[in-house]
Amino acid sequence: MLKIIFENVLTIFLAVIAVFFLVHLVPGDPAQVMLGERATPEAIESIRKELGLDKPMLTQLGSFFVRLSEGDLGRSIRSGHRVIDEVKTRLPATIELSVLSLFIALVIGVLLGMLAAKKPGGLMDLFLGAFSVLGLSLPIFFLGLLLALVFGLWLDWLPLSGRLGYSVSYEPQTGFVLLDAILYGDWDLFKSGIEHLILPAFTLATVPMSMIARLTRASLIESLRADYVRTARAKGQSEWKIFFKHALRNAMLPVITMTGFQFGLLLGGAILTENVFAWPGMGRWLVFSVEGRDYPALQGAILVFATGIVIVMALTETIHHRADPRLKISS
Amino acid sequence: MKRWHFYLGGFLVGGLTILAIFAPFIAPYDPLLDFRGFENHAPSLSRLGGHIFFLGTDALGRDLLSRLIYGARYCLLMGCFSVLLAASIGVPLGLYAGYHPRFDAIISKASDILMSFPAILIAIMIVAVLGPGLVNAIIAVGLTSIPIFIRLTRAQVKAEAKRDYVKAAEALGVRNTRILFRHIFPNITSPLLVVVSLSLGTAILESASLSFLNLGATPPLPEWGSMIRSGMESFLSTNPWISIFSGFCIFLNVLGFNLLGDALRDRWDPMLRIRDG
Repeated sequence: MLKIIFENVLTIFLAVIAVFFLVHLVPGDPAQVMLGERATPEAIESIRKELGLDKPMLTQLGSFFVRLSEGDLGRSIRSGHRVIDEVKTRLPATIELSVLSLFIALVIGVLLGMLAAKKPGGLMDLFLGAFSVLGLSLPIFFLGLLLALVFGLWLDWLPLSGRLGYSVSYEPQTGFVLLDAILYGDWDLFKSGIEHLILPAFTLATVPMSMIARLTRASLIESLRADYVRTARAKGQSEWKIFFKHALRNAMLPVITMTGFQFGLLLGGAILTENVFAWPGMGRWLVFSVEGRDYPALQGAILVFATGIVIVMALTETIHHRADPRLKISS
Repeated sequence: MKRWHFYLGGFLVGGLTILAIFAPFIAPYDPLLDFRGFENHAPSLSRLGGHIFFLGTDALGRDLLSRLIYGARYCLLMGCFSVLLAASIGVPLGLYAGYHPRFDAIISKASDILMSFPAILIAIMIVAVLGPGLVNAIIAVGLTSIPIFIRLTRAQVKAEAKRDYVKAAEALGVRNTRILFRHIFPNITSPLLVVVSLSLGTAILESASLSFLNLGATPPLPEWGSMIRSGMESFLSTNPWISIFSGFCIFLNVLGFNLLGDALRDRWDPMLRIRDG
């Protein structure tokens, strides 16, 4: 347990250092790069002062850590708002999208894997094989675009982009549209929120879904061959009970932990998906910040992503160790 | 069993290579030439003012088919150079990590940490430092692929180092560097080739993603990722073909490299062959 905490703190520490040096590695004068070629010398000087670029490197690093510990990530150059406030408005959108995608991926993925494992080499198994090759090779932004084209434009069933329709009014309380809609009891808001969420969530779910399905299949086939399944069968238990109670339960552990460890993959996909559907989350903001050379915003966005990944990894590792007593003995 | 993987993968990759090399002979028009008055045409076989635009034209009246054919060059260029960069840094690091335990602790930990973050996030970080562009995207994608090469090379070296020929070389007092590069390295090239093929697929996907995000190759270059973007931004409702065809090209090529990598792995990984029965 201590080892897990230490390693993750170290990773976050390294991420902070990398993010700090991001600005300093930029070729040329960072202040000039941020403001563009037409900036006046006074403006450059004031940015340099504001970001502390005129002080010695170690002092800068020290004050960067002090500010971080106070939750201060600086101010965005483009918008002028505090970076932490920008994160607060965007992070819930990304979390909402990722959580729903993960849910879709888990439910459909496990179901597909179960059906394939029931009859290896059968029709469902072949379908799963083709699906996972597709999932690995189809660019996620292209898939999103196709879905938007078919369901948004041609069939006109779902909205093309954004998070909410223009006609609904929304006062963010928690920042999560669906949660707020339930809290307010606002049915129109909920409908608009879920309609906008379906296409991006399905797009983002495909890659983890194919991975989860393959893992479930492999893990189930292995546990169906295990001795405890043979024992259960010898005891005369029903096939139904053997499948769900003995085999599936044991097969799910590696699936859950692998899903947790692949959380980074999901966030990487979220960056692309958000840009296809103009989803106002962290990924879209990250790309805007790079395009606009808005380094304080960029630093904030990367730190949030890195912290999120590290937290999920640490949680997964803890659950993994708790759930499987064999690991405790071996370590 | 996976023979068709090999043939289909080989066909797709071979097709891409031929298109890339012979683009000027195959493409009907110059990919940068805009035909004024023929903007945003849908695919058709009919003659328009003496020209045939099989796959239609884009917003500036450029022939889409020609742009897609030339796009093969950028796709292959970005994929190959980034994998070359990744292999030339990752393989030596992996060789040392597999052979020297002290090196191993640092290098493995570093590559583990890097691998826990999504490649596209790290690539975006690198582009943020270097600035957007074709060459910088290649560097970014190359650097993010290094850990895969380190990990595989290290594992292979660890297995090889127990073999008799390595022990014999050690007993003879051959220098470590020589053992690594002259004795071990030639014996691990086949598994490395599998990784090269699989990471080419990933690298193409990743560089197209960067271009799609406007951080890699930028217009007017006929690069597929950026073509999807410009097709999506301007004329998705009237002329979705630009994005559809460009996306399909990326998909076919990534699929090609993935299938080829799979087939090669089955061939060279005897453990896998036994397990799969």
